[in-house]
Amino acid sequence: MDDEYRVIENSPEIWTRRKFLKVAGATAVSGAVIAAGAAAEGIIPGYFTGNRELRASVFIASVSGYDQNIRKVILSGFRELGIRTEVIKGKRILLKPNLVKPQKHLEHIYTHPLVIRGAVEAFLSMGAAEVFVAEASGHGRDSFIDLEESGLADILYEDRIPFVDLNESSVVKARNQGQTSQLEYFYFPEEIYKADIVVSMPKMKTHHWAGVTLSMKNMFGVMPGIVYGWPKNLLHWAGINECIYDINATFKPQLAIVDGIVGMEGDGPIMGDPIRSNVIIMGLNSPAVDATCTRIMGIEPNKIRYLKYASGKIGPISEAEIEQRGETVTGVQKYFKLIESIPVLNGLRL
Amino acid sequence: MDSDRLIPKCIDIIISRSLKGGGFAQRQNGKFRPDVTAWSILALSTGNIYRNLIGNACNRLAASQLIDGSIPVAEDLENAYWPTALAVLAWKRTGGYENEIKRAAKFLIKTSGLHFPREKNSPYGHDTSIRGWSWIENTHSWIEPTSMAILALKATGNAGHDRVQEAVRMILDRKLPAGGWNYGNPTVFNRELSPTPEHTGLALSALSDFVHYYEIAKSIDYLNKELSILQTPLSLCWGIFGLGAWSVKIRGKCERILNSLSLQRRYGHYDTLLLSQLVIAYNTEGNLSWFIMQP
Repeated sequence: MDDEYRVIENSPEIWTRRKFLKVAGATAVSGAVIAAGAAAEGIIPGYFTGNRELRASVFIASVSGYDQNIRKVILSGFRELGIRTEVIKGKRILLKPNLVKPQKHLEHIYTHPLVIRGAVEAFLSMGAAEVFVAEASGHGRDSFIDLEESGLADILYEDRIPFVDLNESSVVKARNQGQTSQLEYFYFPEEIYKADIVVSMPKMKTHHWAGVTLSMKNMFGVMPGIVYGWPKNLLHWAGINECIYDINATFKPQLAIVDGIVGMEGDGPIMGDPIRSNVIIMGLNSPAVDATCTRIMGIEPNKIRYLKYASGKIGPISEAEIEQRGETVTGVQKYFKLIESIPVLNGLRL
Repeated sequence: MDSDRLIPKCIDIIISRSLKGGGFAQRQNGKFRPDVTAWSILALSTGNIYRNLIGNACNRLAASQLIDGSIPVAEDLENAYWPTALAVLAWKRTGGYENEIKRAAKFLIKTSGLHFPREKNSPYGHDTSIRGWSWIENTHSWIEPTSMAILALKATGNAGHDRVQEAVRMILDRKLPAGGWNYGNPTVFNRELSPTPEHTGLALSALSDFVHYYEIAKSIDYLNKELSILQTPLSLCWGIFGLGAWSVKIRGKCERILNSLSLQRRYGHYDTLLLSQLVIAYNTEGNLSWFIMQP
């Protein structure tokens, strides 16, 4: 087998740099499928019970605008979720925003650059060794134009934050742990295994194929275009909901930070309208985060197919199993407009 | 750095990413990529030197060709056949490799994206039955792989083939009502999406010699307008290639390219593909079809 690829049977929750290099060294000769053998640990050891993640905490912060101190909000989120300094100190952090087809001044389309800056500042203040931004944009190969249109290029340049185009990465082959789609393997960019903590940073939006696009759908955006195309049609043909679940079952981001200050309702993920929910939502478990977000949007999580797949397997979606910290769902709830003429948006109401 | 040195420096960097076994990598210490290799061959061929390097790279492409004639993006990813068209262009530009070109062209002719009859309440605005080429086997056709396949088949004397004619219709069908193209979805749920300079340049490059000017005039206008502010390398290059295919003069082309190169201080070091496209755009008039066929 070409030593370009290592096949990971049981995707670990977290690959420390040392683990990755050790494994890479071990498989370079044999090229065989490896059993990672890592316990299903998140970034807080002992947080999850084995492979079935039955309870989770999700933090909801009320944030009146992008001009607020987002770093402080995110640091509050770390405290509420029990993320201590030693979890972040010395670590390499990958931030994965949603930059699909941004257009200048249409801030409801993409993760706002000030939220990204806030996250960078929060992680660095907790002693992270490095924080970088990575994306594999799905609608075109020019990632720099996406950075410019979203305004993120200015922030990255001013703050000296590196950017990695995941579309052009070397890939790591991982066996599909979700087994809901027909895809036997996924090819992830190696950068997500080299990072110590991967943070999914989506925009809170409706989606005309999946119902919603949140922290789990955001992980579509790590899949390299050189393998999946532009758009990532292979994943759509294999079943969008099935692939959303399977990708997240195979590689679980360690943290989600959702930009819900200004989100998108109606015909998401690009052509919808802005809606101000004034929230940032954070959590260590993506299904729980997404379920909370859907409730805030006035949508029943059990009616979102990929969340149904995830429920009880890689995370809880029921209210009884999610500890809501910070604001309450009903306190910040804002019903997102659902367009009747888009079939997948029908019948989603709470 | 002195602007006279910027393009030679680009070439030096491309060469530094050449591989022992032939071919080129996208980044320093990276692995062989056939698409990157094809673009590097085209870039180095603008100088008409580096024959050994080009020869080794062409041989590496030939070695990666599968029995069916395709060139996949990686050994383990046989269904990702999209670099095939690029390999044809690189071989054609270099000369020789007739057998490899013939096999690759044959593969392209017998391969298409996945298509289905247009349904009455389809959410898509385009005709899903018109065939082009996909990125990956058994997926739908899109603008970039279709445009590159048209360029490749045109270069191999297959411009009149039914598949090429149909692909031209496919590209025209995917044109946005206001002009320009995106990746290949003009409207979804009756909403018109936006064009991009990258895809508009690709489509215009493919359509030259196949359609009349009036059919793409609005798209030329769109691209001309975008080009006045574009600075990101990939979109700038495809803008130049797209307009160059229609002999539209681009004012200050070379300065624009040098400016884009200087933006590495903002974006980080460019990968090999971007450097190669910038070299080609700088050293040619922008008409890729014409450039490929020149001795």
